[in-house]
Amino acid sequence: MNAPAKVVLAKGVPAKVLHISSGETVLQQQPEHSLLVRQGVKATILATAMPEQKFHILVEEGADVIICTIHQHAVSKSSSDVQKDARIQWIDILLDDSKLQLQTNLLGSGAELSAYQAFLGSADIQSDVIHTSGHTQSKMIARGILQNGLGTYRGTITIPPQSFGCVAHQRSDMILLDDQSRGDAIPILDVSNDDVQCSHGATLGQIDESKIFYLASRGFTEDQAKKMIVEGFLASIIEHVPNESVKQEIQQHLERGLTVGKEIRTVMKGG
Amino acid sequence: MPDVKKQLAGLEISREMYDEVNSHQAKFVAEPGINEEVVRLISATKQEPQWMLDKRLKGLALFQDTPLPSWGPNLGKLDLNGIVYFVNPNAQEATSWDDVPEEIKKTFDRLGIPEAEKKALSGVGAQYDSSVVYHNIDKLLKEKGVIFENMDTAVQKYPELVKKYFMTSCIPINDHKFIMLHAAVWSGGTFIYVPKGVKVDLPLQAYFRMNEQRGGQFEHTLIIVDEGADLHYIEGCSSPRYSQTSLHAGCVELHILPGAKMTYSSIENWSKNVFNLNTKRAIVHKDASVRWLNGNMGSAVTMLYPCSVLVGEGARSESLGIAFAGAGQDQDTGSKVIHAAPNTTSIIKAKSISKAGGISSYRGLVKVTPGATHATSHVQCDALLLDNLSSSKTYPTMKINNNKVNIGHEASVSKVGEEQLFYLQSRGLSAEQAMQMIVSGFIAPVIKALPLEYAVELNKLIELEVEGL
Repeated sequence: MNAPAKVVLAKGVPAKVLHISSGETVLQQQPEHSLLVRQGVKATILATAMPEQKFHILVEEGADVIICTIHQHAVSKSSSDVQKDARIQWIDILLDDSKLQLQTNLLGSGAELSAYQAFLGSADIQSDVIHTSGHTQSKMIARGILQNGLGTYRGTITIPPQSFGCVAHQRSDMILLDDQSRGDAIPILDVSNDDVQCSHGATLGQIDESKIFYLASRGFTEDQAKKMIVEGFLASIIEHVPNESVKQEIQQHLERGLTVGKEIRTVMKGG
Repeated sequence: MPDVKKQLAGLEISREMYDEVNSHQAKFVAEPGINEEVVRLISATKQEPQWMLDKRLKGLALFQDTPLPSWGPNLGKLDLNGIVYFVNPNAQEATSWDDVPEEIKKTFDRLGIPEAEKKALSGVGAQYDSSVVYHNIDKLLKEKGVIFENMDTAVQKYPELVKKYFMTSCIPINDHKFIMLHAAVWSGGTFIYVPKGVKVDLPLQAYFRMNEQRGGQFEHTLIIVDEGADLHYIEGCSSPRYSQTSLHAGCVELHILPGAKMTYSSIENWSKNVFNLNTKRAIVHKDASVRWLNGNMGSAVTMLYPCSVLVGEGARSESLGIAFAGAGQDQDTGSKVIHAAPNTTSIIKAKSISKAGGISSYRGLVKVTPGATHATSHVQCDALLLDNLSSSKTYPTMKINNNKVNIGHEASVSKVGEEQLFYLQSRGLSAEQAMQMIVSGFIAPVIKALPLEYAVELNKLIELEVEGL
């Protein structure tokens, strides 16, 4: 096992490891990344997960980082520590039965987490946030399309006794595209003081038939209608992807995934 | 609404009455601890048929082989060997109020049972320790063929019904550790059978109460609502305070046959040293519906998750719950629904209030099986924290195994708003009154569903708790 590679995101730090200044960075593929985002740096990181992937990120005071990763048949573990007034935004796109464990610790007041996940097919997501410091914010949103598969979403918001003034919201929505699919949602709140604004929500269901009917009445075929609804459903996550060509790449993956899924369904029906 | 307010103002509940120990001489108290001898003794005392004894012994063997649950609240303080598993009070079953021993009557008087009966209740089965001492049923109900009986008596009088439904398809004896224990040592409880098409207009009520020091209470409730029938059953619990740990491991089985309707209301206010590890489940058949109304405020630890198994097409379940956790209390409650048939519907609304370091948790499950197409479920749980020492936890689980469904879950945690308090105080209410009014408003959606006396009592109890004991 190689020692974890270190990437330091800061000016004036010896470029012994992969050099990244602020701005947009595409990470090389390697099984483990350790990133330090120095004070006040604004950075956007793009990555493609290896089959077994680990990310560790420390976001220093006032820094602002967006990390967007495409997971294809990957098992990923990500963790981030966020200091005072720093922000991190995780955007994870899970394809081909990927698994993601994301853990965030908000260490200083003013720290903020946004975690967005979109998935297609099967996926297993665990997203946890600990509001170690008071006056921190978190938002975790997952949206998934399940086809011929199992989707599991587990999310935990933990607010310890002395962390006052926290705001934490969590939401997971899943569409089950066919009757082979199964969805499990386990959103957990663990709140130990009263000065909080905290909520979670989860929905699971099929595509709203009235929407298909409406689009069909406008001349779209059922397949076209379903595709539009699915794309619209995931758009609220995909729109956070910070790079246009990555967005297009994701769109292609989704289209391919939906087509393959439909073929499998057709074969199964025929059989 | 002004009438309700007047009633509220006029109703004085002395808080001591819920904690008073009545000194009475029990006819028979078993030694603490559980073994085969105790189980055989219980069965022999009740002159039970062989099949019931076999069931008890099987339960005991399973119990001894099964470890404590590894999840949920800490049960470390529960000393299973220090508990008395069988107490028979010094009273024969009475049919008229005058025959009930004075001492026992006093306890019930303080709980307001005769008044409640006078008002609206058609029958009272009150359990004092392990046997029913008072049992009365409206003549009209008898004419309709409704059976409202002590569970022990029902084993003798209605062996066929009991053998078919008692801990078989609803809650089998191997369900979990405390059900195994229950199967071994159960005593007393209620048996109700409502025949086909019979509507019971007034709620049937039973009051459970533990009084023997270290007394375990293992009452069994078995209710069968036959096709097209309608029943509202109310169970209230309150218990005197003791210094030693007590255990309550009851079991409630509801069989709601096609087209029948049932409401099960229960207010549990055990004293603050009781471990309330209760199991309640309903099997709901085609086009039948069940409604659970639960209030949990006493006890040291509560673990209670009423469950509806919707086995027939078009079955419905509604569950409304309030939990209050004060100092040193851990209220681990929630609702479970298993959608096992098409076009089934469930609604869960849970409200919890935590105060002075109390922990209240919502632990729920919504499961939809592959065949249960067009199932709809909505879960909403809201938690109110009254100070920054208290905790609220939410553990909902959704397991959805087909796609023709509509499942939603929402939860929120909040505190009493400063502006709300300020506004009410500016209108002349004291800080305490303002707090009580906000709490009343928070629980109002659940309270409204209860019959009047229960709504009044529950409101008053929560008011007392908010005020601070």
